Amino acid sequence: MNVKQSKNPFEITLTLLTWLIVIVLWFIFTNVGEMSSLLLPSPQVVWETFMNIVKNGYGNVSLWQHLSDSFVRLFWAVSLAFITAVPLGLLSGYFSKFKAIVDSIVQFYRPIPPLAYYALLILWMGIDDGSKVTLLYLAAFAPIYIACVAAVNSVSQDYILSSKSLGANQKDVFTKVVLPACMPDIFTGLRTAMGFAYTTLVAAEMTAATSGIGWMVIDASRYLRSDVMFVGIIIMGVTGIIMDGGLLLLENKLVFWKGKD
Amino acid sequence: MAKETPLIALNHVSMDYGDGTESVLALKDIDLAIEKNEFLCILGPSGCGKSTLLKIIAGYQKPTTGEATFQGKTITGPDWHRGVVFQSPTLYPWLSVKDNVGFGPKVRGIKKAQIDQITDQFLDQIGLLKDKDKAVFDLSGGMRQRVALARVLANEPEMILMDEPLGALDALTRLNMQTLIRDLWHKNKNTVVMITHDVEEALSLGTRVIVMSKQPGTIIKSYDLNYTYQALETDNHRVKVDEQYLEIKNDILDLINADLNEA
Repeated sequence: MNVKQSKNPFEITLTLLTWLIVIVLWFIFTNVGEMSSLLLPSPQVVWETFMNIVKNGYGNVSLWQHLSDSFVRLFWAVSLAFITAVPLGLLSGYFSKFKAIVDSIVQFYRPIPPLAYYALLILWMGIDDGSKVTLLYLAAFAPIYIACVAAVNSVSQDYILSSKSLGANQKDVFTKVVLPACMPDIFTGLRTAMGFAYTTLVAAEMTAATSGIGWMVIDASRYLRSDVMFVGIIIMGVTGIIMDGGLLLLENKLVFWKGKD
Repeated sequence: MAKETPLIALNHVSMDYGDGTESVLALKDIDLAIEKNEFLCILGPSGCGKSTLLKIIAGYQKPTTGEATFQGKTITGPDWHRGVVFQSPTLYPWLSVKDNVGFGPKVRGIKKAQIDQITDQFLDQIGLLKDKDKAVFDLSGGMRQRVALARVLANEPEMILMDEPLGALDALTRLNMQTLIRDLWHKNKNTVVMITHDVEEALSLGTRVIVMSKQPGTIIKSYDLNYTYQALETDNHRVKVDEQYLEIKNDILDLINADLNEA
């Protein structure tokens, strides 16, 4: 199993080495030169700040609260997007008349950067989580929807014909053949949506919020706390990788046949 | 004519693709009756409409003119009485070997205990009972095609349609598969229609071989044969090549080549 995932030890070493060099260069640059720590804090300072934030939080809110605020928003938005975009996308893929109704709307709003309509959402729904979840929902909806439409259209015709010759009716064809055949593409759509919603989340928290990991970074910038900004940015990067890794793990479990038929 | 209605009857079937000046006549005025227990092999050059003929019998396509009937009734769409084996096995990778074979009985609402018994029976017939819990993508090409065969057999259909089922296999696997298909056909008293490129395959399997011309496809010759029965009786399950066999083979090759060179 997992042939496509396995990396050889040499490649892993290369990856680790790259990061080691980045950190060493960072260390040398900030400790030897006369770089202002306001612009580029040293690794030790960032580490200390990190430990401090873990212990005491930031802006009277603990780090875990910031993180959980961010992830609760993300979780609701992506879940809602998933349970609505999958059926709509599959229906659009299946019935061209249905697609004629839904597709143009999605295609219209999809290229618009979510922050462009965020201001409107705040006007309508206030500055609380409602507007943020709606924003992220819209951001996550399009990639999942589009993946589903494409997935249905790429289901092998022979799969469908052979199932009919085995006695499957329309419903069986959909639930037992089309749906599972679409699963790998739906998962890819979900991962894209998660990534896009996450970047949108941070941007939204930077625009208007009182908590969350994005808010932490933008708030720190107002006080020139570049060490806190560094901590925030690194946390964003790492959580992003963990999130995608988790989805990848789930994908390998649930759609184990991906790329093997 | 036969005493009873043939299993499949094609009456003046023609098939036109496209319309207007762009249209291509794939099949022209085909008359064909297929009786129960026949093993019919269809030979012909590429693009002669063999696959179209099979698709019409399967119910995937409707003829432009003429009529195709199954047990006396017009064919309106695919159903499980006419199982189809494709050139590349269309097994579902999300199901195990066993569940692929049980797919037909399952969608037909057969009880689980009975499905298990049916799948075991046919997996045993194709010699893959021990691999029943494997994923289909872990099987070799020949094994997959055997599972595809078992999947169709599990429905115990009235007839089995095969579109170059062995085309993608290597020569040795091919020979073994031919023997297997012949045995299964004989054991389960099936009716088989098989498209092939391979003249020897057709001669060694078919009780009847028909040769089709290039576009527009018509039936140019039909042979009734008994080599496949002979092969069933020999120990090594291979056809004994005699003078007549070679004559027929040459005859068919000449027919196909003459037809191709005419253009």
